[in-house]
Amino acid sequence: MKGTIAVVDILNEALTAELTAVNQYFIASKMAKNWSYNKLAEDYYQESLGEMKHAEAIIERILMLEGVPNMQRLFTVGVGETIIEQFKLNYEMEKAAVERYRRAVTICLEEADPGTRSFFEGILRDEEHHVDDAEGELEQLTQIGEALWLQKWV
Amino acid sequence: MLVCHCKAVFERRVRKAIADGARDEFDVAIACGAGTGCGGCVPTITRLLRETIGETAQNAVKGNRTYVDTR
Repeated sequence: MKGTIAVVDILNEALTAELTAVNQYFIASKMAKNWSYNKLAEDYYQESLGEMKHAEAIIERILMLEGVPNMQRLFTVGVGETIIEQFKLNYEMEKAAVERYRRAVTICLEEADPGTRSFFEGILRDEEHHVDDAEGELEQLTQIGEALWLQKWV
Repeated sequence: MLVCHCKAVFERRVRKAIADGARDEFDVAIACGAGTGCGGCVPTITRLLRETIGETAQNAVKGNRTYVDTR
């Protein structure tokens, strides 16, 4: 089943973002582990795997639509130098993902591809959940302060 | 924040290069090596240049240089 160019392009943009997220969460996990924030390291590890599963689903969708998945390109992989800087970079990445998937839904509407639209809507819900969780954490950080907040992740 | 993964160059080093007189991506590359590996960080370097010296100043300096995107 052939997908339109615009739909395959936005699928590939989403794939690039997911592969970037795999790397960003993975290095965040390993740096957290290196600093003995074991709980955070485990959470980030699972996020990385989750993004890889998103990438997997996108790859399968692109192949179904007879497109070529781009496995080479990455966006900027944000690596913070502290736990909090990393957390903020990851939050920015998730917000960009929500914006991207909303745009993807619009493109699918314009291209009359409800199948891919509903596919994107599913992933969008996951990413909104990530943003919601991160916003909760950042709010708590301002309420209880850095040292207490970091203690949660040890 | 890490800017150039290939050459392990952090944001403060890039900002220092700009503060020391780097006016475009070439200058930054010569000063600290950032952007001379895979090239993936060049958009970030461009953003840092724009944020510090502004778009018009940057474009005015580019002059005769031709930038080829080899990625």
